[in-house]
Amino acid sequence: VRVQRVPRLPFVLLTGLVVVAGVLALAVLTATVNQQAFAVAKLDRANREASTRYSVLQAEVDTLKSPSRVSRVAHDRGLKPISKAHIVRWPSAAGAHGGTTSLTPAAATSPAAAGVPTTDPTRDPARAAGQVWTSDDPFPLKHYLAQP
Amino acid sequence: VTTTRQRRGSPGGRLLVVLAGSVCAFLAISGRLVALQVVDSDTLAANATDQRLRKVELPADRGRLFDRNGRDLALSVDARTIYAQPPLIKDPEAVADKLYPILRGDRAELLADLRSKSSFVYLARKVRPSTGTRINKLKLTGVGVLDDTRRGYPNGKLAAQVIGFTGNDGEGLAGLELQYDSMLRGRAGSMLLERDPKGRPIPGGQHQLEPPVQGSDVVTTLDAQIQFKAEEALAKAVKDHKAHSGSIVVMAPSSGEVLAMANWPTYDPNTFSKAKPDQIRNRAVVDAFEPGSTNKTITAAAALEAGVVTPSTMLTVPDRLPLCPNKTFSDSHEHETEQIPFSQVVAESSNVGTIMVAKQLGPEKLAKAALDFGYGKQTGVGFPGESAGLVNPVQEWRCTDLGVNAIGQGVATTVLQMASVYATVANDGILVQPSLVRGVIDPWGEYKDNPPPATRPVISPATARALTGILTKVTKEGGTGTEAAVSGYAVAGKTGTARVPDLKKGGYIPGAYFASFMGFAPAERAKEGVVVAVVLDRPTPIFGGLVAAPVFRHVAQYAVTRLGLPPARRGTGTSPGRGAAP
Repeated sequence: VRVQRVPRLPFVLLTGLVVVAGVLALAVLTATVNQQAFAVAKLDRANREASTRYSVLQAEVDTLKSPSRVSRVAHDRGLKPISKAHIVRWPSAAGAHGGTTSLTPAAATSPAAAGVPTTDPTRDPARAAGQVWTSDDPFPLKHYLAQP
Repeated sequence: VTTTRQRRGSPGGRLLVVLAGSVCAFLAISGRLVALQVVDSDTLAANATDQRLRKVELPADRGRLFDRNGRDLALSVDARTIYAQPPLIKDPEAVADKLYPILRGDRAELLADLRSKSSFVYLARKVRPSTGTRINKLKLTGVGVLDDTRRGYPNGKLAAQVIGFTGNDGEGLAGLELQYDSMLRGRAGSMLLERDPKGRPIPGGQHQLEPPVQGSDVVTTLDAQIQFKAEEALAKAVKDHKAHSGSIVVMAPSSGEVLAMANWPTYDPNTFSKAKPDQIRNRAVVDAFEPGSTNKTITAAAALEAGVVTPSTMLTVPDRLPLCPNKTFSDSHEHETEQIPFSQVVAESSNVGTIMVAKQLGPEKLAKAALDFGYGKQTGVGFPGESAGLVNPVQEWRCTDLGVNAIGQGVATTVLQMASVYATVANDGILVQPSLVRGVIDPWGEYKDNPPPATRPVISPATARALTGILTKVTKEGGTGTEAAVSGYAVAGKTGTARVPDLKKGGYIPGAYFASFMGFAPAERAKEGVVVAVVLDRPTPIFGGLVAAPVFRHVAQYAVTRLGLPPARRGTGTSPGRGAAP
């Protein structure tokens, strides 16, 4: 009886191919993951540098805005402090002081004001537009005082 | 040729030897394995972990200090710290040559650090990040750069004594930086990183992050613009009048919020190590002084409240008043005996007239009034080192103390306490605890107002209004404080010229005076206005009405404009307008 032998080569080749493909796939996957990790590390570094730059620039801006510097520059350019201010009326004025209409900013910005009474924003266009101080806003003056 | 080698012994014996050797080797290896895996496993595992894992502390950013409008008063800026490990440096001279052009400073000191026998030395702390980058590029063995933060005060000297400063390790050392240190400091985090043998992070390696909790931001009550104007006016006054020092407090009467607190001499907190203790002290809160005639406001308030006098009560005021044996009080200027209303006594700052009223009032009521207005105890502002002032208990008063206390000598207060007295009068007799902080912004960005300040009535609204009317006369023709008048606004206030105690020898320093002016504007809407208290130490000339009142005018005029308080309508600007004053 002559036994027909199954050829081994295709099996060996197929197995080898699968192993090589698997190894290659793993290598590619690892390389990709590491590449991403490198990218993340690079972005982290860039983020840190940007954050550093932001904090330094913020300090520089604050220094440039400091009242003493602004005053010095203004003086150098021939500007003088106003001797008597003209106080303008705020468009959404409400309330009265001694018979005259008061300024909403004065009411809000005056440290005497414990807080502007809450009104329905739908009835107050200024409040709806975010121009009026609300209790969760720590810096009411920022809305209408020009910061030098 | 066939050679047959005769083997000695039996093969079984050789096999036994090999077997025994193998067993011994196996046992030795097993024993070592047990030692490594069982006995020393924890230590070895920890060593291995230490070798490749590194825990990096992530410092929390210190919170900012803002003024009331969101302007930065203090903030943390990224910085770098340069260090060296001297044992790793082979040629200190060469390293110093490369570092010196970047770090500057003292080259000999730098070289000494690099040659130091210690294993770690700081070469420069909290330098600019760009400096760190330049040093990193040099790739010097034994020299490294650490991430750090530097506390920055972008406005320089502005409110320096109030803000304070931090030390090298970021801890608050003075002022609000010290008072709110625990809040500003935050909580440090950490990062666990897997590193390669060269110390570089392994991408995709073990990575654990515990983020730091940033410090809370503190929103102060200060207005940077008013603060600047107050400091500018104070510096000019001190210079012009050759004073030793001075302080100004600007306050909102109904909220007790301090809008400005200026002191001179001053310093820059960015370079606090160069400042003298005299410059760092917040005199307005820490130093007590004798208020002199500005204290007559309390005497007048007590007398009006007790019904001893009204503003129009006529008094016969001589030039001199004998009060005790061997003690006669006199006015600052000689005059004939005159018939004047009580309001004029205050307007002219008559010592004799005030003491006459104090005699009618009695020592107990006078002493009680001073205590009610807050003398002798801290204001509650919580500032580090705040003085309570000094008030002698009435039981210990000597014969002259009634007269002395009535005119503001023999009693000591802070400028903040005095500002609070005038704020109480402006606020219809209600004392509101002064505050320097409005609220806090937590690390998650939510703003919370501070709890409302404590309040208590000191005098009745009617007394406060009557007193306001009297104080308004001070800044009018015939008063001692005409230099304090602000165009378009009614100003109520009081001048003061008080002797300076000699703390070493006792008694008073001859020819030395505190000149002061304290008041508020606009008087007709005092609750909404501002209180300004000015004190100059030993100016020339000595009179508060001449040197402190103009400073008051300058600051008050700016403050009412800044706060958008419109001038009185024509015809109302020169009267208190609150009905009770004559």
